[in-house]
Amino acid sequence: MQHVLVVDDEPQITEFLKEGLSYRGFKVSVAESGREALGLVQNRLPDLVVLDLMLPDFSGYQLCQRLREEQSATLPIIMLTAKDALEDKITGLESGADDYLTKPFAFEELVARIKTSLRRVAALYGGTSEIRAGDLFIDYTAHQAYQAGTPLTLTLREFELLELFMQHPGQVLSKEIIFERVWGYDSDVSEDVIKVYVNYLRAKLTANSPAELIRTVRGVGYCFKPR
Amino acid sequence: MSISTHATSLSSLLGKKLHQPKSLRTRLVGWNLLVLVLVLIVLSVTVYQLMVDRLEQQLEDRLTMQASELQFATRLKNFSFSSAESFDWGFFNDQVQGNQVNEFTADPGYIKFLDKDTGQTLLRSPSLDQERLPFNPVDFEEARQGKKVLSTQQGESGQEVRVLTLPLYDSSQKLVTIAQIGQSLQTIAQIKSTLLTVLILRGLVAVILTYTICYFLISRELRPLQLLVSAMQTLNVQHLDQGKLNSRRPASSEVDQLTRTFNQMLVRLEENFKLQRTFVADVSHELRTPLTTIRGQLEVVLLNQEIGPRLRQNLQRLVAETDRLGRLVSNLLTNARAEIGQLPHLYPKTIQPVQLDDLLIEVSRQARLLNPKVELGLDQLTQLNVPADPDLLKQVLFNLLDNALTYTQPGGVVKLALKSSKVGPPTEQAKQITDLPERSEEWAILSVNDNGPGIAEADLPYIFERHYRAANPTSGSRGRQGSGLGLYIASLIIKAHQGVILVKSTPGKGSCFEVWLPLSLTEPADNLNLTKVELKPNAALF
Repeated sequence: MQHVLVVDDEPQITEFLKEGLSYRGFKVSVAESGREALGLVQNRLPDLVVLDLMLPDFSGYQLCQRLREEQSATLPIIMLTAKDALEDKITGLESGADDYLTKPFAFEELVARIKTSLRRVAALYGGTSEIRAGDLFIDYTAHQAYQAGTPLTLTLREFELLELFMQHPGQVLSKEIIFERVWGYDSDVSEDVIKVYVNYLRAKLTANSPAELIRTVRGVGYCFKPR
Repeated sequence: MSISTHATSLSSLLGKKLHQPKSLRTRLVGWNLLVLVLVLIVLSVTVYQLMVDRLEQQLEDRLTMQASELQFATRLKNFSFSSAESFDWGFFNDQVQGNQVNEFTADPGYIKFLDKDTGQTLLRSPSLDQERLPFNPVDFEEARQGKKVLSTQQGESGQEVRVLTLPLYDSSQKLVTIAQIGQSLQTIAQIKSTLLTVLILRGLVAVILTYTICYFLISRELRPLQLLVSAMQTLNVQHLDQGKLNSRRPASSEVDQLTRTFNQMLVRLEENFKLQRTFVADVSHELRTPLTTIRGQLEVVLLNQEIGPRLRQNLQRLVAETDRLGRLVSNLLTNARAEIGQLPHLYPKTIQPVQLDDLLIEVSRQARLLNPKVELGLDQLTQLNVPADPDLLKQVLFNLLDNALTYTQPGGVVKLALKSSKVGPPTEQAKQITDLPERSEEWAILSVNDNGPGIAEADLPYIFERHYRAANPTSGSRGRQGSGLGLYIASLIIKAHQGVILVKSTPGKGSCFEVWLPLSLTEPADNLNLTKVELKPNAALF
């Protein structure tokens, strides 16, 4: 279970974040001040920190910098800010935050961002640095996919879609699962969206070999069969 | 500085419409010249009059003196005859000759003797170039009565002559003859015309000289004012202190005072703006925190699978309304900032590649709940990446969707689409919204289509204006919902992205909003901070 540290001095906000993130399958700890957060982090390094800009003892920027310098340079940090002034965004990103969200934010969007950040870190520093299926090959360190040795030019979504298929060869993946894994939230967005992106991916794959790699399973979803 | 350029500037100024305010410099130079011209006219007229009077007086004095000499000479001569035949030719001839060779009077005078009874010319001096003067019976009669008569007579060739007609007596007080002594006025006329020419020419030279000097000096004196005006015009709300003027070279006390007052005003403005900025930031924070809590709590409750469908729907509506409230706060803040000159703009560091198709999917997912009775669907989706501020773009999309979903009747359809174009937006329409730089690159077109009531043609040019709410073209009623800020702010944000918003609408059929975004930015984003305050001068000072 992945561990998320939420740092915010507003108890109402930490309350729902804790409840919601727990529901979404994260282990959540809460700190109400920068000092408390530093103490918690020293005990056990979380997988990700959600950080509010305005803290009673010191600012989110300072905490962000100290976490980066003293603890881990790779620790993903998502900044929450109630101000959308540009200066704040810039300072936030400069102080080392990976991402920022402006309040009021959609909870599902926060979950999606957390997942994306964790995935990025896992891909960069995780165990597997590559994945193979048939003549397809993904090099995570270079974030590059190849088909029969030829590099593919994929957009981020196409890359993630291919990655998902390659991780589950031969399995029928439902549209809901695809959407949740690739876009980060389960949603009732029209199923056509997935069809559109699967078609984009198919077009790029069959550009190199005409075989139908991704099969449509009528009424259910898609199935990837590597050769 | 040449006179000719001033002359042209003067003539161009005169060519302007009269009701247009003249520049202060022109007015000052004008008034100065007017005063100068008046003084010159008064002086010239006085000098001229005095000179002419004096000359005429001299001439008359000379005539009177000659007359007295003649009368005196005649009286000394003792005539002893009483008839007309007894006219002493010798004596009078001497008088005539003597007059002619008078070396002190350069101008020729003349003497004529007339018969005391008939008025016929007895003798005349050969001077006056044989000028013949007509006989004047009135003067002749008066002279016979013993008076001296002065008059101006015109000769046959048009020459004017001042004539003194007088009686001559012998020692026994007996009338001998009538004499006429004349002096030509030609010399005086010549002096008069010379004087007039000199006065007018010198006057003109003085006027031109004064104009040049005044123009130069007044320009110099008004220079600090000009600096003040240009400083005011280029005022930047972000950097008010940079607009301060230094008065290193104090000009006049008034300008110095004006400069100081201006600087004081800047300081006060700066303080006010600072206060307002802090206020805006504080309010923003205060409003957003509770909104985040409400929204978050609602979403967490929704995570619970045991909730019944009806309650779920109601909660989802609440989430959507909270979102709307959050966006309203955002719009109000953007508007408050725009009012103090902080238009939405891009910083190089907030620009990131934004995957527009993803943004559209995410936004449509959230906006769906705003009006469940209207179907929100995705049309064509092209994978496009533009350099942008994702938060700002999201604000634009939500504002457009909010607008479409609010005005479309239940059962209507709103469609989102994304495509690319090799051709830029139609400039004719684009020009109305923003000054479009000439570009020939690829564009992304985000479109929001609805089949709502549409927008009347009369409203179309104004819908991107602040607080404008179009009337419903079918019912004619004013739009009730919304702050009238959404489209205004959308257009501001798109402008900051060097893009354009276009709108097409058919009343009764629906509207289509198109956001055109360039796939690459032409200018460095720093140069886009066009946060100038535009102060239009009421009157042209210079």
